[in-house]
Amino acid sequence: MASDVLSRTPPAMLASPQPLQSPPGSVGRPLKLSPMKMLPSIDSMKMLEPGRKKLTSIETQRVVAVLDETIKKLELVSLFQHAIENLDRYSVVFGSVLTGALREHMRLQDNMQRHLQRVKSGEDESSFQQETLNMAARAQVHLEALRQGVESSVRNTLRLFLTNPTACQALRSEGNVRDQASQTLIHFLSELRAFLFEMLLTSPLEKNERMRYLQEITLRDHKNRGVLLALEEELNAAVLDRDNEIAKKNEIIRQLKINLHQLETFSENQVKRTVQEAENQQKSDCRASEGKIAKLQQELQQLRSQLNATIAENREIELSLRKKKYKVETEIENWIQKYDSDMGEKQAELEELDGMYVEEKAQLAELQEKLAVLEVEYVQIMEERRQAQLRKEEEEKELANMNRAATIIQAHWKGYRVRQSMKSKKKKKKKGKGAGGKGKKSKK
Amino acid sequence: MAEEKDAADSLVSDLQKRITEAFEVFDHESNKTVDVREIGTIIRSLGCCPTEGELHDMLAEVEEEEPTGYIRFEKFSPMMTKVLLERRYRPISEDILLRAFEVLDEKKKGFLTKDELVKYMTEEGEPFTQEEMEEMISASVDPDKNIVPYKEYAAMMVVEDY
Repeated sequence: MASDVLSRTPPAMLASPQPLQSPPGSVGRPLKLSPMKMLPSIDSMKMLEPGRKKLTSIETQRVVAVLDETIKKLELVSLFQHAIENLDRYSVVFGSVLTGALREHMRLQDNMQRHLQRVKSGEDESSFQQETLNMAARAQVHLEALRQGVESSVRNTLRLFLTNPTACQALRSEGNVRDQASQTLIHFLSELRAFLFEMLLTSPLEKNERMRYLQEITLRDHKNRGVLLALEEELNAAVLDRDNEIAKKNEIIRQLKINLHQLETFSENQVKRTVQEAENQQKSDCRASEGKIAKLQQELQQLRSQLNATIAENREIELSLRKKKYKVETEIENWIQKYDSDMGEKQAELEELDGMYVEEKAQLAELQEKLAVLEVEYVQIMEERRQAQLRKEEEEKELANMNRAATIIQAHWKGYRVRQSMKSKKKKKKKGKGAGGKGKKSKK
Repeated sequence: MAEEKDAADSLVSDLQKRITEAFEVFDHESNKTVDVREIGTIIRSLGCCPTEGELHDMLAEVEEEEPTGYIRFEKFSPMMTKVLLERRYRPISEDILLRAFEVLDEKKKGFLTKDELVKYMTEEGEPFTQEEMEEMISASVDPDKNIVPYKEYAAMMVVEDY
């Protein structure tokens, strides 16, 4: 996981450098241009060189010759100390005159040295005394004399050396033992000579031109410096940019790493927790299943014993049933035998009865024939009777009708009669009531 | 309501008046009693046509517990009022009477012979006495043809005024 993240980040890093690479490109362009500028610089070098190689005027030749001579002499003078120190070795080459001159020079030099030391110490010890002031003035005069002596000695010795070219040669071959100060002086003098030589070679016109050219170059240089500065700034900015970018990327990487770490710890925790839970679950399940197994085993034991008991019981029952079955079978056999014999008897009886039955059947048929005849008669008689009944009923009904009709007529007749008599009575009433009533009563 | 009631009251009083009148005709001793045998006449005179059986029922209703042979007006009057108000034993119409005759006229010849009439009236229903029979023959039989033209006779017998 971590490696994945790490391997994934570089492509992002590679993707971003594109803008980062462009500033170096812009910086590199001027570098590529430099060969083009080299050509003018070669020209300029030529330009800077003097127009001629040789000094044309005599005056200039002399000036240069004097300077050359001076340098040569200075070289010799600077080697005096060395020659004095090794006078024994050089005495043969130098000759007696030169040796003597050198000794004289050494003596003068020593004197001057001593004198200079004394002046220095006197100044240090008593600066306020009158005496010392006088002594200083005196020493000054002495020193002046000493200096002039040394100067003349040097001139003398030099002259002697110039007359003796072998000695000159011998001393010069030891050129590398000069002290530092004289060496520097000789170096500067030779430089001065070269500069002077060059100056003498160039004319004022050329000089002006050169100056202008130099100024131009300086200007260009200045401009180039500006450009360079700008480019450097750009480069710095680009670098800064890139650094920022890298910092950002690093930050992202860091965060991703943190995330990863968190994720790892989280997942680890989770895994741990899950494992723990699973273990717990497993344990509890194991316990439960053990309990269940024990229970089931117990149950199994119980059921087995039950089964055995049942089997034993059933065996007993089976045995008894078998006995019973045997008994029943024998019984059945007996019964069958009995049944067979009975059936034989019954069959004989049946056959007998069958014979009787056939006989009776014939009789029955005979009787039925007779019965059919009688039945027809019976039906006829019944029909007649029924009709008679109907007639009778009708007659009765008619009679009732007639009775009712007669009754109605009788009733109304009576009513009619009474009313008639009442009418007549009323008529009679006009004559006499009692007679009507009597008459009626008698009628009734 | 009041009018109806008044009308009913007047009807009842009217009926009672008529009953009293009819009763008094036969109250010979004027002690509010009549002979049992007169009751049928009184009832018939009031426009009713009961049969002898029905008459017998009515008599049983009004008779004293111990038969004296006389009927008292106090008993007779409420019973008769009720019968008249309920219009029981009303006389029937002419055609029903005619149909009764037709029943007796078995051959549908449109009349009854004198013998037939005598036979039916004395043998069927509530037989007439000899006296009654003779009276009926004298009133109904055509003396020439010796038959009963019952169509005419029925019309005559129908109660006219009720």
